[in-house]
Amino acid sequence: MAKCEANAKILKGFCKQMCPKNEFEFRRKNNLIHVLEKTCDGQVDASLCVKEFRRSAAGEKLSNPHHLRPSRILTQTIKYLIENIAFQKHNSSRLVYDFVFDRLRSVRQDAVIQQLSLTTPLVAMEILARCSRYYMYAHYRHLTNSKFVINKHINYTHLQDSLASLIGLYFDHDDVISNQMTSQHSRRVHMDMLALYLLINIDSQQTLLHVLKKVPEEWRHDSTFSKVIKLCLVNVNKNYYNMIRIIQDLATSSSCSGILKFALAIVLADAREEFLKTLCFSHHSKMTRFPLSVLSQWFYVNDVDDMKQFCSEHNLDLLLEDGDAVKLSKVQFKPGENFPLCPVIQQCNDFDLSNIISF
Amino acid sequence: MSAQAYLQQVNEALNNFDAERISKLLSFTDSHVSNPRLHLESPESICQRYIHITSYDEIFAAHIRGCWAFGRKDHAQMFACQLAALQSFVKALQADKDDNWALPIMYTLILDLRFIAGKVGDSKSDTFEKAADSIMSCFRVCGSDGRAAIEVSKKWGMLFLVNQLFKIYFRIGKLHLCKPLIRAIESSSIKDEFTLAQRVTYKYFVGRKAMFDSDYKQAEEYLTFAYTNCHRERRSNLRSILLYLIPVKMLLGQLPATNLLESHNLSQFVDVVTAVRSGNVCLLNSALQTNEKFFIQTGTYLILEKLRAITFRTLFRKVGQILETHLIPLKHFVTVLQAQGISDMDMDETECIVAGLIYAGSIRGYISHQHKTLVVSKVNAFPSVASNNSLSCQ
Repeated sequence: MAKCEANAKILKGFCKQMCPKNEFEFRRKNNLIHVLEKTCDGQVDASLCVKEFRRSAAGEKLSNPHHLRPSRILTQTIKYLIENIAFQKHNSSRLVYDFVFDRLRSVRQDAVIQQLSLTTPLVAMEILARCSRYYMYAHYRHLTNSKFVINKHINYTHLQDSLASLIGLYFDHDDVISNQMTSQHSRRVHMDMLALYLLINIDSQQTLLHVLKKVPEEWRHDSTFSKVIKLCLVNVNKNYYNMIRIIQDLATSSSCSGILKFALAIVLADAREEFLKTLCFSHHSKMTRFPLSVLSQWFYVNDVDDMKQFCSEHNLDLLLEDGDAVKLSKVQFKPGENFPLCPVIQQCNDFDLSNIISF
Repeated sequence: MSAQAYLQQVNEALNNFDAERISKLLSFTDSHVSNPRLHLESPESICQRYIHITSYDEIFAAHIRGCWAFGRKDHAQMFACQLAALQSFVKALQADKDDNWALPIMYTLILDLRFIAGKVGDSKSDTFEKAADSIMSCFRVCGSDGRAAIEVSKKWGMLFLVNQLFKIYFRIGKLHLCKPLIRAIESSSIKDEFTLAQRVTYKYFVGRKAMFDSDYKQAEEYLTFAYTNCHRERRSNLRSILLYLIPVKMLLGQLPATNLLESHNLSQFVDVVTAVRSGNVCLLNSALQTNEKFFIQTGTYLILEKLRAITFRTLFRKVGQILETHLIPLKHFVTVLQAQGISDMDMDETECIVAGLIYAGSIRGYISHQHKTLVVSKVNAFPSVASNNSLSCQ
């Protein structure tokens, strides 16, 4: 018999804790409580336990409503993970990251099983937005801090997936994102996440076109958002000089969020790399001599010493008589390996990181 | 006509393997869908009574329920029913060994499915995704029909299915899903024997995909095939092809004639073409801004942005020709840009743009920063765009 039901039955969870009772009991009995789920003196505390991520397996029923956390608990769980766990000082940043990553994945899993994107899309958006921001933070941290070791590929995949789902939700619910009743703060968050999506996919024509088609007209007039669009458009023609100017403008702007600045730092690093390569090609000649002070300005680098280091890392000769200069040579140029820090991002390190994620 | 009379017609058509008649009886463009006597909410038992061929009772039950939903203007329900009809059809198709008589029915069901999905609304992208999943099931059945003789093979349905999937994937912006389909068709032994209409549609979409992937030579090849072989009277199709062929050809150095643009109602491109031809960067900026909505809607905005490099190159070449020297002071480029009305480009940015053109191979020479001069080769300093492959690969 052909079934023509438009919607299958939607599951609703009613587990009132961050971790379902039976899972807590099982893990406690089998000594599987994570160190970050214990008190400072190593005691087991049920209220500190958070549901683990589990793959569906034979016999495993992931859809038991007693084990599913409803939206309110999921939101509380994320808040707890970000504000209490993610940035605490710990010997092993890897341990903390792995724990938070796993527990966030479980939150997303509960959200998917209960189809929150259909029933309470605003909550689904909030969950995806917070998770995306955490992955972005981890991605940036990993690139800039050799002690912060994560599986870059997996983290980046989750960043892309959660952002893509989030943007899909925004465009599926354009009544929400273009509604005049949406609070200023929420609108800021939506724009921020869309800008982040554009920046991490800056080389994708399809992404940029899709966003340009769907984005509400008013957003194009927002100062930060319009600059991010401009940056993407300027990237189409590989106008690195202009790109770096726009990044400099955004990075020094107070209305640009911390999480966007992380993404901008990565775009900047790639732009500098390609820019130097281009200049080595275009200025290559026997008598070539390019002043480092000018290059520092063009590349938005802290000072001339940083620029010297950058050039040396790319195997270029420095000419230090008669003023500091560099020999731009297409023959000598080698791709760099270190991720150079954007001057403003160093200030970002002083920000309250949990604020960046929690908005 | 009563429901019984309708089902008797269905039965007769089924017994005669009359795919055309069955398609009509299943089509939402046929008048029978407005017949209130066919607006039955639960037609399963009556269908089972009259239709004795496996799966077809389910197909028609779903269709009649779809007619009921049509009467209530309930597009979501219509879609669910059409999906169910197609899913039942897949079972029938699979069971039909060594025969492809039912392919026309598949075409009708899928065309209607896509049409109804469009009515449900663009904003709910998972409607189209569900439609695509069902069409993929048909594709798998047709694609794996390896053992049947070619005259009765279901493989003949493949290009139709691929084209339908292309239409959906382009609409929902999931172009990466086109890749396995393209691979399947390219490796098919009958790829050049499908109808010309289907091949034109296929090449059009593959050409557009190549354009998005910045493979402009491929894009030109496919879109040119589509344009050359498209029926001359299908003006809107020709226009759709030109919409993408023109920017691609422009990037490869070939500018269209104004009368071509005007005869196909593509006047939005006129100023763009003039700007690129004469090296007028300011005109290019304004042309892109004026028709921004149109270019964004058609997906040509970014490829037209890329014409900026060619426009700069043409402008700088003119400066070089006027000065008749191979040592060109950069300040003249700044002057000429200011004369065009571009006041926000300083010497540094101009130098960097020239640097980019050198790197791309559009200018053969080097820049002396100390002397603020572009030193060009005495021979072929500004190679033609058509001959410069590296530009087309950016």
